[in-house]
Amino acid sequence: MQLSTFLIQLLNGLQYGMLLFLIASGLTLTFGVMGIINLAHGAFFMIGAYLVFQFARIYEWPLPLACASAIVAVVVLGSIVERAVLAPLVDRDHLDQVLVTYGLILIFDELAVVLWGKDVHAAEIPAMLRGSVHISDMIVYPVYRLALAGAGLVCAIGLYLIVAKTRIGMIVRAGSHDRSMVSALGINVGPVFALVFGLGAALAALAGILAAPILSVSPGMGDKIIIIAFVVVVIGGIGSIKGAFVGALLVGLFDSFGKVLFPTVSSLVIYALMALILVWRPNGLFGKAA
Amino acid sequence: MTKDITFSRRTFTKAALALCGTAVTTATPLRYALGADPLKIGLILPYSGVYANFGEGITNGFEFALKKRGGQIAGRPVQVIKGDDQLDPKVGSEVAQKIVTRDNVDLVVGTVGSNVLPVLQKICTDNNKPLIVPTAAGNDTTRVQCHPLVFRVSHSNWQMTSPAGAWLFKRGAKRVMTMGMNYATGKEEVIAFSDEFKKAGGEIIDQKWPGLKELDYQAYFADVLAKQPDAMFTFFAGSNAVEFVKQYAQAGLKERVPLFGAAYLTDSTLLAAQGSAADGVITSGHYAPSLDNAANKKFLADFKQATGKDGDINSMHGHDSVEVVALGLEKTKGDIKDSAGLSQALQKVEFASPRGPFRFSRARNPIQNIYAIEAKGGQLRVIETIQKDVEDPTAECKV
Repeated sequence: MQLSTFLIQLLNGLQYGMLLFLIASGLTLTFGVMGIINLAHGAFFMIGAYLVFQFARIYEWPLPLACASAIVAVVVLGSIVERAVLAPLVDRDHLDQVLVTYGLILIFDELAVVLWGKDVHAAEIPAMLRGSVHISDMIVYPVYRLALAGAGLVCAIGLYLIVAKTRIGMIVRAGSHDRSMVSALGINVGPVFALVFGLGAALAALAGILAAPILSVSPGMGDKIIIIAFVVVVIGGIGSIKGAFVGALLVGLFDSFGKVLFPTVSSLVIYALMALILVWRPNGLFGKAA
Repeated sequence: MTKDITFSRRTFTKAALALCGTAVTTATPLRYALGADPLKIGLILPYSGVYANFGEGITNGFEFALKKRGGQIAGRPVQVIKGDDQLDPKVGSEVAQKIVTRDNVDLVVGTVGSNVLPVLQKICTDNNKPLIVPTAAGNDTTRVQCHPLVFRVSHSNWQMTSPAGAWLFKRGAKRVMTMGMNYATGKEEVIAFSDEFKKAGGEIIDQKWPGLKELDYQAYFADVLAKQPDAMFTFFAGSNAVEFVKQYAQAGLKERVPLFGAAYLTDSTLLAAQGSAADGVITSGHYAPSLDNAANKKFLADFKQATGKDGDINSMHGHDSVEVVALGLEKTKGDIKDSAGLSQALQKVEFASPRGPFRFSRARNPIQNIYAIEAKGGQLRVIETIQKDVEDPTAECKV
């Protein structure tokens, strides 16, 4: 492999990893803290993308306003889903949760079809982020993708600071370790759950907004990415933010190098990685023992 | 004792069935007595899943063409029974069983997915019902799997891209890289192109097959920059095509390695989403709304007036499916029971389609022109006819 190809693939892997982290972090938080498997997490990703398309392209709102409104709307929607549908399921069997949240996927996908039709839509890259950087004659890289990687990194650092340094973060960490002990200590876990879920929904919506200009905005767009996000969560260890970060980078890098080194089996590479890691560490890289 | 129970159970079932039978036979004449004997057409398409927009577009064209004919074919009022195959062979099989055997339709129009078509074809031909295929393009349907009652209105995969092979070589591309979605259609379309391109003297330097669930093609692009081919030839459809075309342009590749592909790459339903990323992309195909012929102009104007929508490749396929059925049945005077006669009548159908002259090959696939189509400013422009009267090879079709 030439050095230029290696560098580009490295960039690709990091950039894809950052996008995956935004989705996987919300997923791992809701599972770790609330113990809920939320298959519908991908729907927040999709709705974020659709809303920014609606606000920015159809209503022609300024982009920052469109993005902020889309995130707020998804957080509100997420909170309603959490209060009305998921909160009653906290102590239920995982199978019940999977069934209900799978039902939510179908509902949200169908809702997208009703509201926006079956057509494929797209969001434009904002003017200041168009074009590509010519690092050398062989290395040309889209500016927007660098911005995407940057945004992901900023979110990762922010999330790390919240979880590691704040009181809320402490409760979240404790909650993901032993939920019943946290409530026994007199901490009201209800609002913490709502907060964590809202944060997860906001991150998924942000990922949808950031991904909209490179992906297509279409019904079911969340279903494609949620599978890979689950792989990330499993590799990193369920409930661990650090795990989601490392897992996302690993999946991103293996995916982009796999496509060059093993083109015929590239779609299998990340699943093989997951299998190997699970053999070595059954609870994922940073997962707590069962 | 046990014997007794089975006996009585069986008798009960028989009695129940007999009762149902009488109910049906007495009910049927009543319903039919209201008008002339209706022609029942089953319309089996994907109305959900990744190709839902195909199902919707075909249905729009189908209903428009029926309305244009006053809701009648060969003097018989038409009753349409729709089914959603969800692009899933299992679902498609159940839906087809219901529509073919229980609703007892006279003929079936369907479907889009090459994965669903074989089960649909089996159920239709087993029950001696003609099948009009509006889109599914697997080569085998009109080759080894060909059947006297199965007529394809769209094209075979081979037909769409193979003329582009020699054409692209003549345009000056000597070393070409290909990319295609990793499933039967993607492979057939890209391989048809590659075979002809190599025959013409060109070199295929690399072929990549991203999966159907691929989201991000960026990782493939480093290799394109490194190998510097003269052109890139592709097969992508639906949302994958939007993602691929946008990412290809965003990576700054379009200016360095010109992008070509099968017409689905820049389908008119996708152009708005692709935006300026699609500008300058050239595809090979059998139809574009900008085709300059009288039948197309009339189709687009009437379709717009009737539905308020712009006609596209899918509505054209839906429209032509009705035309084929109507022109065939007019020859048999509406008779659908004599399947050999009907097959012959359909085989002889010839008309001016919006895509250009339309007639069937011996294997019942259209013989049609293939055009070079360029996307520009959200429009598709036919830049030249790559080859006239392209016929899919019929040697493998024995009946």
